[in-house]
Amino acid sequence: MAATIAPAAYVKIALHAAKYANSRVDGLLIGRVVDGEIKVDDVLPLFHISTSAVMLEAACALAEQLFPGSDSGSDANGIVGYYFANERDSDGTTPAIAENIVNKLSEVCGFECLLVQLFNKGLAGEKGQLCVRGFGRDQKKGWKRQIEVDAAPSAAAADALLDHLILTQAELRLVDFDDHCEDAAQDWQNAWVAAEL
Amino acid sequence: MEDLKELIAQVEGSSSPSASQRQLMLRGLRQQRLHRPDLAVKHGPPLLRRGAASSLGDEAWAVHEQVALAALELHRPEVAGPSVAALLDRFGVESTRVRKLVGMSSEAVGDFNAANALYDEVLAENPANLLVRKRKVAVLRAQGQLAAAVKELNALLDIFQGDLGSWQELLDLHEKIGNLDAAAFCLEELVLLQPASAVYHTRLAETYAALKAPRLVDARRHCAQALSIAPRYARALHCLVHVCVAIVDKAGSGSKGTTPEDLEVNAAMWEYAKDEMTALYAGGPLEAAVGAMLARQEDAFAAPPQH
Repeated sequence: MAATIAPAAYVKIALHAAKYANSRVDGLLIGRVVDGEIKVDDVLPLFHISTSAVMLEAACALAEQLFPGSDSGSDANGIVGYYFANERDSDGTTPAIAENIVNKLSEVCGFECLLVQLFNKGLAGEKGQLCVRGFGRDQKKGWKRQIEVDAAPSAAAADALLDHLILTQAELRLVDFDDHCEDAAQDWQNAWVAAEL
Repeated sequence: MEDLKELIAQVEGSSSPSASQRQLMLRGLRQQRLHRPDLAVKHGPPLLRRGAASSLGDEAWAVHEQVALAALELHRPEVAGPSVAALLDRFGVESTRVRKLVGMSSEAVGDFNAANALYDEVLAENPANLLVRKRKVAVLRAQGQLAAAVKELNALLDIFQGDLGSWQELLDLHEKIGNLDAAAFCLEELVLLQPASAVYHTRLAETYAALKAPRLVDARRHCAQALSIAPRYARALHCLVHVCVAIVDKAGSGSKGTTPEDLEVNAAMWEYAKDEMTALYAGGPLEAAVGAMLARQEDAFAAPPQH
C-alpha cells in the first residue's frame, strides 16, 4: 500500500518542524481513503510543547467538526492519520506516544490510519527526495511497516515549494494548536499556505 | 513589548536599517527576553563589523554574546565563531562566562566530550555555577540520555530549589519520558513559584486530568483559576470544557465520589466556559466548528447521570 501527500500538507509538516526545530512536534493528517490508499490533502499542526491527553482531545473534537470525513455521507476530508518529528535529528525512533495516538485514531476512524514521520536526513537529501516517511500497522501490533509516500503532483513540486517557503522564513507564520490556544486569533488552519501554492 | 515589536517590523521592513536601529532592537531583545535568535544572527554581525563596533562601546560584548548564543542555537557555527573568538580575546579563558560559550560551541558540533571536560573544569573551581551545571544537563539531553538528565537535574534542584528554568526543564523531561506523576509534581512547584501564571495552572490541570488516577475536580479548579487570572484564555477554556464533560461521563458510568451538588457546580462551570468560548470564537473561522462541538457536549449534561 502506498499513500500520497499533497503539497500543502507536506510543507506544513516541514514548516512546523522548522519553526520549532528544538522540539518534538506533531499533528493530524487530513484527507480521504481512495481505493484503500490514503490521500493526505492537508494537516492540522498540533503541539510543540507537550502532547497532553486533554488538549489532544480538544484538538480532535474541533478537527472532527472541521473535517467530518466520509461518515457524513459526502466525499469530505476527515482525519486519516498522525505525523510527528522527533526533537533530535539523529533520533529515527517512533515514540510510544505516537503509536498510542495512531492506534486510538484508527479505532475511532474505523480504518488503519497513516503514521508519518519527518526525518531529518531527508531534509538534507537529494532533490526530489521527500523528508517524510510513512508507517502502517504491522503484525506485531507495532507501527513499523514502511509505507511509501508519494507527493502529488510530484516530489519536485513539493520540494520547490518547500525551498521557496523556507527561504522566505515562512515557518514563522505557521500556527499550531499550542500557538492558537495562546492567541485564538491565530489561524489554526493556516489558510495562508494555500495562497502560496 | 509593543514598541519592540514595532521596531522589529521597521528593521525587518527596511532594506538597510541603520546601525542605531539595529542596536536598539538587539538591546530590546536582550532586555525584554524576546526569543528571536534569527534577528540576532541577521542583524548582530553587521553591527559588530570593524568600525561599527567602536560606536557600541562596552555594549559590543553583550551583542557578541547575544550573537554567539543565537548562532549556536540556530546551528550557525560560522557566525558564532568570530563572536566567541572576540570575547575570548577580550576576557580570556579565566572568564567562566566565555568558557561556557566555548563549551556550547563544542556541543553545537557534537563534541560532547570536549564540552563536558570544560564544564567539569569550571565546576571544579566553583560547584555552584548554575549555568554550567545546566549545560551538563543539556549535554545529556542532546545525547538522548533523558533518565540521566533527570538525575542530574534533580541533584541541581536539591540546591537551587527556586530555579524556574530547571523546574520547567525537569517538567519537559518527565513529560517526554511519560512520568506524568512526576510532571504534575514539577507543575505544582511551578505554580507555587509563579501563582499568577495562567499557563502553569492550565498545564497542571491538563496533567491532573491525564494521570492514571485522574484528579478531574482539581483539574477543573486550576482551569478556573487560570481563567480568573486570564479571562478567555483559549487553552484554559478548551481544557475546562473537556474536563467538565469527563467529570459528567465518569459520574454517569457509575463511579462514586461525585455528589449532586458537585455535578451542579460542574454543569455551571461548563455553561460558563461554553459562553466564554462562544464569545471568543464569534466571527472567526472556527465559530461553526466550536459551536457544533459544544452542542455535542451539551448532550452529556442534558441527561443527568443515574446513581
